Amino acid sequence: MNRKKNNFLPLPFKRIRMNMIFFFSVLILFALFVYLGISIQVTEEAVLENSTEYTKQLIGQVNNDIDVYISYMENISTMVVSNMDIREYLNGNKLDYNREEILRNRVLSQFETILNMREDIYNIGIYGENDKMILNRGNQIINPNVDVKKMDWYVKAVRSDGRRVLSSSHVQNLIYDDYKWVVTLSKAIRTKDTGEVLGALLVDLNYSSITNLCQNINMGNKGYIFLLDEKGEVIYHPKQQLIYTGLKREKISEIRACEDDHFITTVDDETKLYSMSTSEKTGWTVVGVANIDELVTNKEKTQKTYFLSVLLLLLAAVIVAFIFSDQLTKPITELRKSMKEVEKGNFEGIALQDLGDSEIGMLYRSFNIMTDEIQNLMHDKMKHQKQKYKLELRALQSQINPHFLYNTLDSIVWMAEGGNNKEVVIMTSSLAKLLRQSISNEEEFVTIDKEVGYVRSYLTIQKMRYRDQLNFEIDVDPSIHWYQIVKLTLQPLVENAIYHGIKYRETKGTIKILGYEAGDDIILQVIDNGVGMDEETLNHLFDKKEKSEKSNGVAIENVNRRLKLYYGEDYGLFYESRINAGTTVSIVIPKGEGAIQDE
Amino acid sequence: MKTYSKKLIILVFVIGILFLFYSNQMKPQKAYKIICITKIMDETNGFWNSIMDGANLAASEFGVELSISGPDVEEDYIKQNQLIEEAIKQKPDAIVLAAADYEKTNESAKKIVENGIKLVLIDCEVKDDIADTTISTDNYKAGIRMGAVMKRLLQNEDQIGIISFVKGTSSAIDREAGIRMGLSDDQDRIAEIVYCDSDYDKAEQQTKEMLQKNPKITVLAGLNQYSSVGAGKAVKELGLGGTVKIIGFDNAREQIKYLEEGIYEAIVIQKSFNMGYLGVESAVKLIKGERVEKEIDSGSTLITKDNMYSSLNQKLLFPFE
Repeated sequence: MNRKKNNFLPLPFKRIRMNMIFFFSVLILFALFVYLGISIQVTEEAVLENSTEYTKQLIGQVNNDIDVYISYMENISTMVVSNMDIREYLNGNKLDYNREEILRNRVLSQFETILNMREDIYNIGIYGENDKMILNRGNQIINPNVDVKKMDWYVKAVRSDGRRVLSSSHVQNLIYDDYKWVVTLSKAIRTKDTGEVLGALLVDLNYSSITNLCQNINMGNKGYIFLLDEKGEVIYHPKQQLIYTGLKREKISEIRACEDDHFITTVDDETKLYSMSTSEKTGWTVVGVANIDELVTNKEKTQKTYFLSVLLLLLAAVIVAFIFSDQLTKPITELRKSMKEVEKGNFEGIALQDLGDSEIGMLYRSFNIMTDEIQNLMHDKMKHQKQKYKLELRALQSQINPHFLYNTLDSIVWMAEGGNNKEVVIMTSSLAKLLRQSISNEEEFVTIDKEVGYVRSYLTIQKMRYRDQLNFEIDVDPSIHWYQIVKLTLQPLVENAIYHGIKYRETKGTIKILGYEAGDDIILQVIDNGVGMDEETLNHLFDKKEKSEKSNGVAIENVNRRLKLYYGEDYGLFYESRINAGTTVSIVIPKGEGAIQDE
Repeated sequence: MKTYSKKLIILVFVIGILFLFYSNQMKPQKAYKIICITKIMDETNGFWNSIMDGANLAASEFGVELSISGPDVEEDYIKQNQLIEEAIKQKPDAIVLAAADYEKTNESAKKIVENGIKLVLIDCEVKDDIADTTISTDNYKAGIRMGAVMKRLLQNEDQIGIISFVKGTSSAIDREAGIRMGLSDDQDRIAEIVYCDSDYDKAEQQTKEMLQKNPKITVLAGLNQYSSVGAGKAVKELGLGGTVKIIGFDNAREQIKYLEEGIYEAIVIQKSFNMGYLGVESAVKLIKGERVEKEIDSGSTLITKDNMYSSLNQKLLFPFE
């Protein structure tokens, strides 16, 4: 048989069910992960957007605070710069000592007021082109190692046409033995009318008051805020030491290159959000750095929740897949089982229940129809075969041995010639009965009475032929006379008894025919006192191979087979024999009108 | 049917393991415990303050539980050994130690390692090579920097005096060797080397004696804070500023003034903040089982009067409040 080439996908499992579960699971897993990815993505994006907005607000606030702070300092500086006393003090080369002292004290008292008011102002002072100076409370020594007019704050203030100058964070070394980190605001002091530069004002802001503004903002555990001046140099950074010593780098060039107000970048395998806000007032840039993982505060929790739900869904899906696939494949398994039974030739109880119009239901119906059909066909075939067999056997059985016929007729001739009219009549009428019965082929069954009558005719003829050798007795219970028996069963046995039993006796032999009922059965026995058979012969009586031509075993075998065909395996011929003592053969058939009718 | 249920069980099992694995990942890590033992607990000492700042920053950055202790006097190795004993009893994950003495701290340092505690040495080494890593200024390199500047300052018959600190300590030896290397062919101009035992007054005294004894000495090198400050004081008091040039080491307030005044020609400063930071960082790496270099140079920089207020150098010189 040529199998069709399998052009389906190769499946990972042998069983449909496992494949279904497997593909269900893979599909569901895929779907779930897509869902997981999208959900997390969407959630994260939303949270990130909010956080970005929030961060921007925070740093905007910081920038605002710084602006307010610087504005305040500017106000102070404006106030000081326009102070007439100071102008006079710095302009007056021709001032007398007393006037100078008065002016100086007035300025000092103003400075003191400012210093008392604002603790975040470290230094406030003025320095003139004429090298006169007033600083803080007037009790500090200028660092002898510096030239004030060459200091950054002074130079820039003088050059910047009256605008205030804001330095980056630096160490103020103006005062002897005092090195403080400050941010310096300086402004030129000019005459009111000509605008000629008289000197410059210096306001040093405590560096930490600026850094506090940045430090106080909570950007999460890993987030921070730092401050850059307009040149991109760090004014404040929580890890400034690490940056200055080269252990850490900050993304300053990226910040300066960025045109937007935020960007996302990766630092040490962590994704960070950089938000910038540049103040127009100071030119400083506040940079807020937030760790995305922290920004999306519930990122892990969200992920965990999503992941958990995916796992649970997957578990549920697998369980459902198991149950569902079981439901789906159960009918197939049933079908398989039934097919196995059919393979074994067992058609009993394999019919499958109706499952409606589903594919499987149709398959079931087709299967049922198919097996029914096969069963019917097989049945018919067997019936026909049996019929044919029976006919064949009967045909064989019903032939009257021509030798017998010839011998009988020969005997009649001899008897007629001898004038034994009476005997001729008996023999001829017996022969006529025999022939009539064997000719009447229509009937399968005859009454036991009829069958016994047939044998009686036969025996009568034989007894007349073997006059001094054969005697017979017939003792059949009249109660069984009207039971039916398969035609032509008794005669072959009698014939066999004569030719193989009695014939070889030296003295007269007797054939006894008994008929009686035993329970539900009827037993007909043919008993001879002929030569008998040894065990060996007895055992192989129905073996075709052992039968010699002359032994007429074919007839016995045929009778046996016919009995079994008509009545079943429990019935048939049963032999008993002892050597030199005789043979008894019993026909056992069930009581009843006839026998098992052919179904 | 049997195989089906087997596979189901396996599947459930796999999902379960996945879940366990996932939830395990969620568990927060226990904070590492690190103890830092310095040579001295002195609030006025910029060098050590800076180390502690660095260590604290690293601790907060890596989420480490850090405690710092140290003796009140710098050479007090007995007190420091006691502190080490106490630290071991607290069973920290790592100890960051600045050994007070090359030899006398050795035994205590060994005990740290024997107790299965990671040992990170900062600033100074101990005799035996037992530390997991050592973070210090490359003193030899720092010495070369000093030597190179000194070589430029030498004129005519000028000679060199070196004020070292404790004879035999590894850092003193290395710095001196570095200076010789930096001086190269001028190293025979070294007239005298004295040891002040990390004492300002002794350093001042020795410098004065040295200069009075040998007027040819016009270039001085102070090999640590005490030596440098003492030398500066001596030169200033003798009115030799500008004539005798000093190359100092470290950046105490006093030294910065000397640099501004021109008493010092230059100073070599150590990046002590780095030392503290790297000390704790390396300890964390060691605890995590990551690879750490056996010796880490925390770096040094040469600063002169001219560049001391450059935006970068002032940040190295002056600590932020």
